[in-house]
Amino acid sequence: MTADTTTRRVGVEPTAPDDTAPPTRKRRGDGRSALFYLAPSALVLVGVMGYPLYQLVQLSLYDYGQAQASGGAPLEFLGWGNYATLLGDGRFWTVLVQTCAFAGVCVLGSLAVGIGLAVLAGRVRTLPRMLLFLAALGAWATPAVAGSTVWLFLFDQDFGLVNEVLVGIGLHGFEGFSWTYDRYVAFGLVAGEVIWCSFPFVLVTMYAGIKAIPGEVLEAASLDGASTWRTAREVIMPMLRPLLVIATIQSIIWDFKIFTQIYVMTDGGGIAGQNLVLNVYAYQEAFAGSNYGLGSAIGVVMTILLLIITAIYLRAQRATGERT
Amino acid sequence: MSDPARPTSTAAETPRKSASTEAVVPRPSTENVHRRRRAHRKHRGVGMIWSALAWIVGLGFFFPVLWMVLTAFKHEREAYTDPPTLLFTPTLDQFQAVLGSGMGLTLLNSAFATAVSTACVLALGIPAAFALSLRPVKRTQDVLFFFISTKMLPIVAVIIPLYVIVNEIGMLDNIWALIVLYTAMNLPIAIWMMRSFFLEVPPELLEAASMDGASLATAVRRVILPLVSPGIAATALICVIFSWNEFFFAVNLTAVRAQTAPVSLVGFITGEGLFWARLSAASTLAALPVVIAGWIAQNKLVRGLSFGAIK
Repeated sequence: MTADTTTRRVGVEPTAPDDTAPPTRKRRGDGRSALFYLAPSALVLVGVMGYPLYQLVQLSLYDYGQAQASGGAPLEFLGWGNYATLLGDGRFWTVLVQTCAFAGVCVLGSLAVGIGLAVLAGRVRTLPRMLLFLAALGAWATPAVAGSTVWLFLFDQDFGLVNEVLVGIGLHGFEGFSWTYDRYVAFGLVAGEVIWCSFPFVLVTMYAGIKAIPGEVLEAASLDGASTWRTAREVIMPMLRPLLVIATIQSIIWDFKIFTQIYVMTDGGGIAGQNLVLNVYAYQEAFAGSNYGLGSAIGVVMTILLLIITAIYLRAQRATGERT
Repeated sequence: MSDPARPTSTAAETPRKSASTEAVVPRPSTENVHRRRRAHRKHRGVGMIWSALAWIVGLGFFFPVLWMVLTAFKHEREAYTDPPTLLFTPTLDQFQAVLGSGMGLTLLNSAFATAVSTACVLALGIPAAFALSLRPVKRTQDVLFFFISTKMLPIVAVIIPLYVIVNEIGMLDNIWALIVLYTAMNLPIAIWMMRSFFLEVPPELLEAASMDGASLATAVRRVILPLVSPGIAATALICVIFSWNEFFFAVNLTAVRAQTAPVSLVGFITGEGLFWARLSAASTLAALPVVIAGWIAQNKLVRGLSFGAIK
């Protein structure tokens, strides 16, 4: 009996044993009240996000610019026209690849830093741990606009502290070095800021997860002769998975849709748009270029991409969960 | 338990069993103490390395914030020197100027939008998360995916339709428009997190309560909610931080009356150049409430999250 109830709680997978149990009246009652509990949230989300999504898709099928918005020109239905323009545009592909690579680096970076610091925080005394948490809270609390500006200031070409220090320790190549001129250096700098302001979420969730693993479990593992690496991989990781999934999905969604940091730190997409990511590109096309239709098409493409990436990730997670 | 298909159950059970035996563990013998001391000495060197690393990384990561706070106490001309000024006479001029230019109102707006939207998220999200924790079936994953998928719309792209709608219902520059949007923005992640806390509550508790004749609503309120309250507090704090720092909705949908703190910061960047010291003061004011709230909630946050960590 105990074993059965435990697995029931654990079994988030479709293989949960009570799936095969004959439906009782109580179960169906549960189902109906579940629907009743879910409906308000679903309604709010559909109400707030549904209509804009519908509008977005519709807009992406029209030639919709400043003239159409002000009623000066008739709406012209393009069908897939905007998408064809987009897919035939070399720049779009560059930006798309750039966005995926940049988001990938940021997600892996925030996860690595967050998990690394969570492990570290679990191993040190109170004072250094408090410092780590203070740093995390500070980075988390600083609004993105302010954080980007602070970073830009610290890395300023002429009076930034970083260049002063680098020159001070003898690296004279950094005299007047611009951190935003070269495409990859600029992306690196922005990625640094993004990781800096998104690691706290990972740190806090993972630290909590690690703390929740009872010492006895780890002791048992080491008594069984498991190496540190094996313990980490086969004991700690499976236990952290639920929280790790939440942290990863949140990071993917965040970093794929980065806007403020790129916009502020590379001044709207860098020299000749070399640092554009999809979100900023859509903004530039829609607002600066007054081509709302094309901007909307980029938005639709982004949404579909994110759906695919997240679905693949979740599926892989579920598969791993069943295997281990 | 030996069923290879669900070995996670062993992982979840082990702590429970050992937790119950913890109380009867005998006191360590003298020999044990000696052995432990020796091991402790060996580990001290490694511990020092970890500590040093924590100090270096902690200071490094804290530095941008520290620099911002320091700059907030400088005069504008001291903020721009080359090399940067490290020693200076602190002044409160920037804070006075920032508060004098109406930052107080934006802080109040932010606080109101954050508090009300977080309350709405909890009111809507707790029942949803509870319902999703009840029967773990395949559908659950689909519903969860549907919830999270609403977060994938790029705000930049939906801002035009949103602007049109908000304008049509006459809610531009109205804090309630932001509250509705923040609620929708945080609801998916809140439901995901709270669900993992609800999964921790043994279902027998609910069954026992309903056998005692309590209705489902009463059972949830009296039995389950108190148990998951740390987790709910943690979720609430995360929602607070996200709402407090939200920028894009606020910058596009508010003007004067409903402007929030992050939006007011932009005023110090544009115009006749960057007022660096003043921006720092404003940013410090904007970040301070979150740091204080986070620091107070820190223990609760970590305890709360760990409650739902292991399924």
